[in-house]
Amino acid sequence: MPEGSTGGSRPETTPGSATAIPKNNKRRNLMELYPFPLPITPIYLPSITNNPLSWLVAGYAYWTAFPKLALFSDESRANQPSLTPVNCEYEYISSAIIFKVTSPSGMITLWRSGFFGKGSLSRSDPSWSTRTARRVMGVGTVLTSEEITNLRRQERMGFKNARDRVQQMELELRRLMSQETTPEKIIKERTAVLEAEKTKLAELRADLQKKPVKLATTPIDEEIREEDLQLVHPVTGELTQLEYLQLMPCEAVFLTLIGCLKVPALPTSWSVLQMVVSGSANCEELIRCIVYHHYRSLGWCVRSGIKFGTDFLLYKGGPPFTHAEHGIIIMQNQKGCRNTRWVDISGTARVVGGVKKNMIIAFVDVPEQDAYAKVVDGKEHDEVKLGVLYGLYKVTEVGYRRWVPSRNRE
Amino acid sequence: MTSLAEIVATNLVHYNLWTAVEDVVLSSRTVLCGAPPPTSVIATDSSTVLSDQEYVLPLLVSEKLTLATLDGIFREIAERRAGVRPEKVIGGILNTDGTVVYYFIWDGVAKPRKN
Repeated sequence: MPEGSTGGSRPETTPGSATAIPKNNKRRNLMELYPFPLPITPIYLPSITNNPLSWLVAGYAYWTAFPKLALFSDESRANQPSLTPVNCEYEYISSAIIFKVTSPSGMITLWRSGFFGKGSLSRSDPSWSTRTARRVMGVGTVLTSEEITNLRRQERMGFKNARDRVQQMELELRRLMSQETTPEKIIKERTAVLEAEKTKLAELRADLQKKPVKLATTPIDEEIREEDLQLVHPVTGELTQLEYLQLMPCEAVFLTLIGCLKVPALPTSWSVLQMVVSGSANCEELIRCIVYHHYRSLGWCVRSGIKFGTDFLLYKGGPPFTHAEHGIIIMQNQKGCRNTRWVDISGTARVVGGVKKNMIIAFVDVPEQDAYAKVVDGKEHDEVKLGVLYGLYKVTEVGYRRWVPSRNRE
Repeated sequence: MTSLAEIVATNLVHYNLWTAVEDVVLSSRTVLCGAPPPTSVIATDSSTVLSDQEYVLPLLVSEKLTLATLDGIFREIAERRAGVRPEKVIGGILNTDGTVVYYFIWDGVAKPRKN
């Protein structure tokens, strides 16, 4: 099985979901783990019917829910943890800005409700401390997605080595057969051995293609490195948390806009946006924010597509539920911008097609610089301004698919 | 204030489990030098087995790189290794979501790897 066809595109298994559970059950567990598509907890109110009794029930429910609506006092907000925005810091790394969430509860909230951000030392959800605690201190039993991937990789590696061995044997046998002097008996013996090995190899291959990961955890006899020892507190024996949840600038803007994130030095989503954009109407980061907002608004879970050379990946639900369905590349109605060469598009399309995703070109109509400047310098309130600015841009999309006339009919 | 090199170094040590990762300060930028974990053999093919001293060039995803810059980096590293140019440098590219992706940058033509 070639690495490229499976690596990276596998749905990520989440902590808590043991891998042997049947499919439907697993899906239900995931729905319980990740019930909300955004870090907002809805208040469920009963419906009002013709039955007067339901009026009473509804009246009571509205009465109790009223203070939770958090429109009136900050105290009621405090009782509703999900409505409290998660705190976020930012930092410059040369010319780039990174947004960090360091509080454990904030990291969990943002990941579990809508899959925002990425653990700085993990593939997706912040699982570094779980992995490291097991590796260094030998505690914990739940496998993280990275560890599952590793086990699968080892299995594949074992298969490849076995395949190499069989190929060597086959070559050797052919060499012997071509020599007239080789006795018949030896050839017969060798052929039998080779056949047996080939059957074993086929079994190994079939094992690999079976879906569930074998949880027979191989004893890890990795040495503990000096770097690991420095992580453990000498007195308390606790592991230092090195990981934080990193948000893409477009995620930070989106989350502050919907009131789920607070960057202390930047009070509004507009000021967050101003930190990450350059001031021109076709600024790439601004366009990313707009495209991100566009797909989030349509209910998609949007994540970075860097591993496949695209701008974004769209997930239905989120990474633990399914593979990403679409890869998005952004194009503008401007001369000299990225992704306008057919060669680039075709290259990306082959990669995206290779991992069984659709490629979608998000085409953004960028307004004139004058119109942009008018909004930026305008007198509107900051929160309104962002909406007005986004309104100047228009996102349309085109699906792109390679079609080979001689092979495909549809 | 963290630097790009520090972020990539942390990723190498604590995500990819490299050891002895050190800064190598060149005139224009800082590259990293370290040892991959013993198991990180990419293929059974000998040409892609990582050595115990690999150079990593930290990059930003927005950064534009020229061949002249790359050549300068190979040359400066060579100066520190008695004139021997490393056969490859690994580009460690930091994305805006915190992912670091790694790519080999070979000094010339490399033997194709077996799949």
